[in-house]
Amino acid sequence: MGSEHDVVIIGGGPAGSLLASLLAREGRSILLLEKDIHPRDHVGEALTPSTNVVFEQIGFLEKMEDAGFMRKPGVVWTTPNARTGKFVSVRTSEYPFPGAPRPYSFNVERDLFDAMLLRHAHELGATVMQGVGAREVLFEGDRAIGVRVSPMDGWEHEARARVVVDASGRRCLLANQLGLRRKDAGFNQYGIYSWFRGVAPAPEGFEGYLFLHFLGLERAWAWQIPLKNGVWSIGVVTEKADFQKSGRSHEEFFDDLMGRNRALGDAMEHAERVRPWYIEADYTYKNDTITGPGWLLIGDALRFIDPVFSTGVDVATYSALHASDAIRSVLDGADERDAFGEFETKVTQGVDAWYELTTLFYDLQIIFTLFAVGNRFREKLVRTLQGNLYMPETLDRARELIDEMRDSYEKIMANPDNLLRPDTIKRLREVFEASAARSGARRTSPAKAPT
Amino acid sequence: MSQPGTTPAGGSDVAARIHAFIVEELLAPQSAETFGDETPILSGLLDSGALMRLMVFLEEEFDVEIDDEDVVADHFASVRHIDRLIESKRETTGSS
Repeated sequence: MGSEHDVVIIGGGPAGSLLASLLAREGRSILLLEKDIHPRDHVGEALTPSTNVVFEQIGFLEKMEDAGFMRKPGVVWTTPNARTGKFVSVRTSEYPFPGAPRPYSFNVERDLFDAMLLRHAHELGATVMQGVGAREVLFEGDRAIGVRVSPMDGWEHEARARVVVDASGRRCLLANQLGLRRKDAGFNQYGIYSWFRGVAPAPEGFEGYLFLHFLGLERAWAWQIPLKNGVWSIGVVTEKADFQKSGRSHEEFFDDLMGRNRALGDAMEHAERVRPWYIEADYTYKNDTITGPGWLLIGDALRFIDPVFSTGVDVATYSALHASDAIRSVLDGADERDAFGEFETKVTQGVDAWYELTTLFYDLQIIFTLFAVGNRFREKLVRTLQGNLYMPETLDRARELIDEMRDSYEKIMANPDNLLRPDTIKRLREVFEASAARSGARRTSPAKAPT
Repeated sequence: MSQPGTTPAGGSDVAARIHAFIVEELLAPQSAETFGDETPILSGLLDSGALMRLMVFLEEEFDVEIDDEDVVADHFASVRHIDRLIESKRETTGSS
């Protein structure tokens, strides 16, 4: 039993649905295989402003407005001891990118958003199958020629295609099949999150903002994302070893970390959890290559870094966009190696820049935030965080920013007296207290506990 | 209300604005009462988060750029020290 298509796409998450939409609307024959039945829960609610461009292109942006998803004007960063309402923030509308359809991005309930986008692909003419998982990609030599599908025991189907696209998300179906997936040794983060009601409302003027809370621990932070109807997505991210060492339950660990940030702790005082606990672990990886004869990887299936800059859907969106360009030209007769090679270069360069920026965030922590809001880097960083690092202008800006921030950071760390070094303030306080004690003077008691 | 024109070196207007920000935004009430222009800031009154917010305030309020190299004890030991830093920055850029 078989069928023939221009493209078979494995996976109906944002990447797969966007690619299916982009190609189906121009009349290509698209088969999209989604293993789940939507709606289904998924992590990753915050979108970058860059994604609005592609949503608009496929006529989906209006649907998002109609669905009433929470609009996100910007990001707030809080430090552990800051009083509630005392924080720094950036607004994306300060530095809109050329042609930005909206001065905000959205926070989305993924079950609703993904289901809408999947249906949109169907409406544009893709053949969408839900509850049908791909078993393996079929090859002739090193060329991918289709996908084996088995909806149930005894029912086998070969869906043949000119191009096979793996959009299977973290499952990385094709990368695993070909042995290309590599876990990242430098990142071993662990996320625990859920949805909550009864969270204190955002301070006036900051409705819709994404809150990023530092927790006073290496490589740990929390997100607080407002959704519709008084629901918030809240998660803590920390090093996996920290969780394992703690020996505590997920609930206890979450509560403990949450309590390390005053603003977050205050906001959660009367909160109640309305979904199960979700865990994300071992989530940072890359693949040796993201294209081959007759195949491409898009979205999480090509790579996932970290949630801190909400890059997941930016990668999904733009890898889908550039995949559609590559596939279109191949279907129209262009050389496949050139077209796929261009896709690989563009996408890999952009994702590598996200990786560098994320690494910097974890190295710099609070200093990163200072760079974000200080005069020197603010514009470059606000522009970069809006996404789409896949074109020369934005990529060059991101690379410059990364180099300059890294350079500044090294200068700071090279000077033991620089107050921005994580340990300096504490050390100076200790020196002060020691000399005050020796001189017998009455000590000025510190107003706040040290971070 | 700020005084018209620039004030002499050791600019009390700048110092007053710095003092006001620290007291109103960064200190707990019990420290705010006794906080003066000479009070040692680095005795434990500010943590790194507060320092960060102070730097943002200084750059925005006085329209200067504070280099990372400037963020050392000599420049942030007290309101008086910060005042001197800001004045030197303004002289360099010529902003009023």
